[in-house]
Amino acid sequence: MNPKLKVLAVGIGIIMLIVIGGYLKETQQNNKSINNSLSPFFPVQSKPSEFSMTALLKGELVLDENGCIRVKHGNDNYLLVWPYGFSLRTEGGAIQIVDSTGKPVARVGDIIEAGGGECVKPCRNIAKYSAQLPSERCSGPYWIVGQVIKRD
Amino acid sequence: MRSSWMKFGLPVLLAVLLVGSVFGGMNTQGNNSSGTPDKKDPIYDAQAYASDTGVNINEALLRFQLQNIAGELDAELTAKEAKTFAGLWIEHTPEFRVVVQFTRNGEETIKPYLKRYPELASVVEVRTARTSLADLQRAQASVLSSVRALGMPVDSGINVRENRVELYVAKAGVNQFKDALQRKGLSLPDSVMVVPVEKLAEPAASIYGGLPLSTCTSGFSVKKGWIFTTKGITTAAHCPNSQSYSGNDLPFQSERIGGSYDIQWHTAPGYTVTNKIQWWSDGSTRDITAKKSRNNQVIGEYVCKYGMTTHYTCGTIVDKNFAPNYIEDPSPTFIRVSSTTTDLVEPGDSGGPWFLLNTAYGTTSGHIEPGNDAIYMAVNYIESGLGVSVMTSP
Repeated sequence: MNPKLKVLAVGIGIIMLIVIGGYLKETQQNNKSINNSLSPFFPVQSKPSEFSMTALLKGELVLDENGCIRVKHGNDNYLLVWPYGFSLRTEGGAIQIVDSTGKPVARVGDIIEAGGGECVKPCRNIAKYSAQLPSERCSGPYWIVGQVIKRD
Repeated sequence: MRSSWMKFGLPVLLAVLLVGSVFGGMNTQGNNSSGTPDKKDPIYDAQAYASDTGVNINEALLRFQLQNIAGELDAELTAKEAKTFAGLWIEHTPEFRVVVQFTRNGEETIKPYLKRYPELASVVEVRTARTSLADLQRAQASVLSSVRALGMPVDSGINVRENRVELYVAKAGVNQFKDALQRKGLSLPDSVMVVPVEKLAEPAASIYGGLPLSTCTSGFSVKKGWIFTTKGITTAAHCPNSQSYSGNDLPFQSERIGGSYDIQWHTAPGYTVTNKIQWWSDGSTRDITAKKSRNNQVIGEYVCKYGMTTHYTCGTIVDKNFAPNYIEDPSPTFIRVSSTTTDLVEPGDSGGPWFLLNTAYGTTSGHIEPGNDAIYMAVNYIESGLGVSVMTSP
């Protein structure tokens, strides 16, 4: 074989190994990101506020297939935008919503009553409420939670 | 490669896009994304009819047209053939037909009308009845007048198919009704029949401000238009657009949020919209006969509100230039009310009325937590925001 062709073949082989290796690595990373995406998405409001809307949303707190925490009302399936300082905690397999003082206020599966109001559609200003929104993974409509006033 | 793509691939792609756009276009006209027709679309009624009667949608739409023509024929026969016309009605199954009744010479009488309404020629069926519609109407008026003198509550109608007047009497009162007729020496004509019913018709329920909706409270009764008015009730714009009262849907009309506004309104089919508000938790109402715009509301003024969660509460205006941060680009026109003793507003109260005596002041928008303060939008923004007027008379 022509020495020049040999060098070319080895070079192509190396490039192919690099490309295939990179592809495999990327695939593994993608799998990892898919796994991560199954963890609940928990948007919180960017700022603390003592002023809030006073509509009342009642319904079951549901974790949908995209990991979005929602409450359904009529034809709307609201993505809840939680008050500043709220967080998620998993305890004994249950996903809990915890307020800014660390007190659990609701769990996924609970029937809750959430004070607040909807970000009126098309809600172009949702980023004003939460830096995590808009999100490709969890779309609106959005319910801006003022207070969770009761859970069963 | 490029040339073969241009030669074969591009036309195929264009064909796919064309077919897709044609079907996509059809979909947006008649159906939503789930494939069911949009309820605002007239095709929805046709689909419902088709489903009920087992015909296709084109036939359903054709029959809708025939219904309109039958209505014109009905009006014309009533006016011009009063002596013999005994009413008409439409039958949808097993065949679509328009049945027209006369007391005599029906086949002859109908001929010139079918020339005028040729679309009906193949679906009209002429029958003979004993009493004309005009005579039935006279009998009904006469009987109702007599029965009213008895002091007995009855409903009444004309059953055109059976060619008779029907008097609907509550089952529990049938014997009492017959006794009363006998005592007065009254007898009913042959064309009048007493029909016992479980319950007589009741006046339509009313709807107004201060009532509990799905997620909020109704604000004030409003109307749109001057000659042909549409009436409804308001609530806050940040409440979901799907609202119901007592399990009945209240169709959403429009909303406005941002700046000085946080308001939406809904019509209320089946309800009588009145210029009232509920102001107490036992259901007590008061009439709204005046409205006070923001310019005329004064700091320190005592105002009250009603909401489905905290019911009747009152406080004093502390700020009429408030700009709540939850409103997009808020204008400093919202009104903040304070109380040292009472938590004025809680979730569920949004949209509810603010008032004093019989004057409307505004509708609830939000609250301040922790604390007792409430925020409302002044009543004049209902009108400027929605293009409606707040009802101050029935």
